[in-house]
Amino acid sequence: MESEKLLEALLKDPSFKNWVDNSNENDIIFWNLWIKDNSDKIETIYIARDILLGVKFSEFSLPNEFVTNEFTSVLDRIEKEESASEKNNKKKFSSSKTSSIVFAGVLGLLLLFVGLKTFNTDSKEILYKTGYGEIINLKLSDGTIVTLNGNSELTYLQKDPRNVTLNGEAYFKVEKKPSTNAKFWVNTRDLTVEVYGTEFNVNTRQDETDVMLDEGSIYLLLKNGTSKKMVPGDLATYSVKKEKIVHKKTTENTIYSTWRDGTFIFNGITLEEVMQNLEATYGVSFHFLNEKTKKKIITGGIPNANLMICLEAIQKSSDIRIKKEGDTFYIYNNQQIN
Amino acid sequence: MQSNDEYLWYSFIKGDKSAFATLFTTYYESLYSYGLKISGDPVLTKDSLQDFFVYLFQKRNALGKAESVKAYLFISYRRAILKCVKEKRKHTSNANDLSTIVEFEISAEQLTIKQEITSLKNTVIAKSLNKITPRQREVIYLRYYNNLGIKEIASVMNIEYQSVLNILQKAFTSLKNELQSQSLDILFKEK
Repeated sequence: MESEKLLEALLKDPSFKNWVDNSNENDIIFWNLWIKDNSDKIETIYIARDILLGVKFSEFSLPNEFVTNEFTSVLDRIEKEESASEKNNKKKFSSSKTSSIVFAGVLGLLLLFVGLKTFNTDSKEILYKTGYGEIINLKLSDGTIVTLNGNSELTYLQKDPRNVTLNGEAYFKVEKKPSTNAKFWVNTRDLTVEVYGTEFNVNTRQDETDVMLDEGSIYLLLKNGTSKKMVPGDLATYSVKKEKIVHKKTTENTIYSTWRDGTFIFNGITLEEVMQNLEATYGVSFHFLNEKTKKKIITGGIPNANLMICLEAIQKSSDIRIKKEGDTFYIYNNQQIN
Repeated sequence: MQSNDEYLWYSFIKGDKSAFATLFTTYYESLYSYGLKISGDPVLTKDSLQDFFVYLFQKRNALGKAESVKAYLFISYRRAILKCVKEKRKHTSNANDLSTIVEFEISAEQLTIKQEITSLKNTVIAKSLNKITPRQREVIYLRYYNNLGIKEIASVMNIEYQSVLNILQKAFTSLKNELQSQSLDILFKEK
């Protein structure tokens, strides 16, 4: 009975663990003396040491395809059973279409998860990547919601979901952590956005980083070592190449965060800027046959879920024609053709 | 890690499918390996694990807050696969006693040699490990392979905290004796 109590106490004692691991001079001296004085308890001491040392197993691993296949089967079965119960209860689930889209997205994510799995789960890097024109909603493990625009990449270490790296464009709704005041960081090649809890948009597309703040307040830690505070409505642009920060107020309904709702809203920007945006989102390239056309001003909302519909809308609203030849879209002025 | 797990679990219960994907990829391999140890049957392990994850997703609304996500998954999956194993063996033997159907064989390939001990062969350790009782092996497996704490092991195996300690104590005493009898007391080399 006595020895059981001692065993439990030893297993819970961090300084005893240090003695076992030979890691702290004071603890080693202390326990060596203690053992000398308690030689009658030597059996229990050695058992406690053996339990702490343990037996080492090698990592068991399955082929990636195996895990992916199993996940696909599980999703298939869940979906099948969901749609079966939907038939019985049509009103309850009205969004079956979106749910299967989400499923497809999840499957894509899984492939990346499995592909990146490393030996140590703590330092496992998690990568979310969207295809051209694909928008996904993510919830990080800390509760932060991220909407990732097309052709974008978000990475972070699994142990640290509040320190992410972005390439492309994303909208962040960062969960506040009042108890710990934990910060959240978004790193780009130009700067680091530091926040507590807020809503903002980050875009790294045109060799620069744009940050647009909707709510709360944030700090930008620029790569040149300086920092900048932003308030709601601010739009800041910084580029390592140009070493220049541009800080301005946004007007209502700028392009910067409306993409999330499936619409590009252009408020008096040039056709050239509109096309640069589409190039980045869809991975296509545009070529203007007339310099003047570039300067046409575009105003209005354009659906962004599908490139062809998007181009159709631009043609109608700006009196231009777009023709695809090979991999490039050529932009003609309407008068030019006639 | 702990608080990450908490958010993950919370999002999963709310129906977040990327949280479900994360749960799946994080724990699939360790659950599979555990199931294989219990059943010794890869097909049964795979099928029961698929059923388990489908069930988990469908019943997520009824699930409560999990103190340890890992322990929760191990407890529930252990229950599920034992049921399958029992069902399967119903016809071949009268195995109502679980301890006789859970073998927990440990092979030499599954062990890695501890840092400074090079002269002690894995085959010797594996042989000694397989001489202790299956129950002792399961505790050792959960503790050192899956890194579960003593409290978590107690809840997974549905036994008392003190029993886990006793089992560990007995297991290492027998291991030590076993190794000593082979005059290979290198693993437990005196300081």
